[in-house]
Amino acid sequence: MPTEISNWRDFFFWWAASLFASTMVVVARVGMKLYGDGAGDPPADPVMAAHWARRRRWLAIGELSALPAFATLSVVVVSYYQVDPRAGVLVAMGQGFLGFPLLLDGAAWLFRKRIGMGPPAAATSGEGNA
Amino acid sequence: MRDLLIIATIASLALAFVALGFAAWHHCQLERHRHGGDRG
Repeated sequence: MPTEISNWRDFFFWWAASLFASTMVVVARVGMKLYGDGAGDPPADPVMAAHWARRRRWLAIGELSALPAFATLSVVVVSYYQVDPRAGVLVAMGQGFLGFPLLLDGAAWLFRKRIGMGPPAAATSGEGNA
Repeated sequence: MRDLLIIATIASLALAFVALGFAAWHHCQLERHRHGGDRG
């Protein structure tokens, strides 16, 4: 049953709902990535440990800072295509599930080219064992 | 209000891109160290 978001009050309600839903998904995924089984231990070398810690920090900041954009995008999709706002919340959750690691792989590819490295030997998802 | 939302969204995306750029940079530096490359 398509429902239109007619006023700003509805818009902000569904925006906040989308933000909350995507926040839950992103926090769960980032927590599993940074503190789960695959997070790994910090390297013994202080220089590498600093890079390791900064990578984790910027990864978390990047994931969390994209949340308002996810919420806005989902509500705009709902408003533009006049679909059910609850579907917009699910869209926000889907965006949070996919997240920005896909873009991280692309950025890593660019930087790898810039510092003169070849393609990675093994598939890395941006946050592997360090 | 609408302008504020647009600015917040653009700022959000910009910060996400910058942060992931930094994360990718440190990731590549880690790989470089791990593969025995020299720094500098």
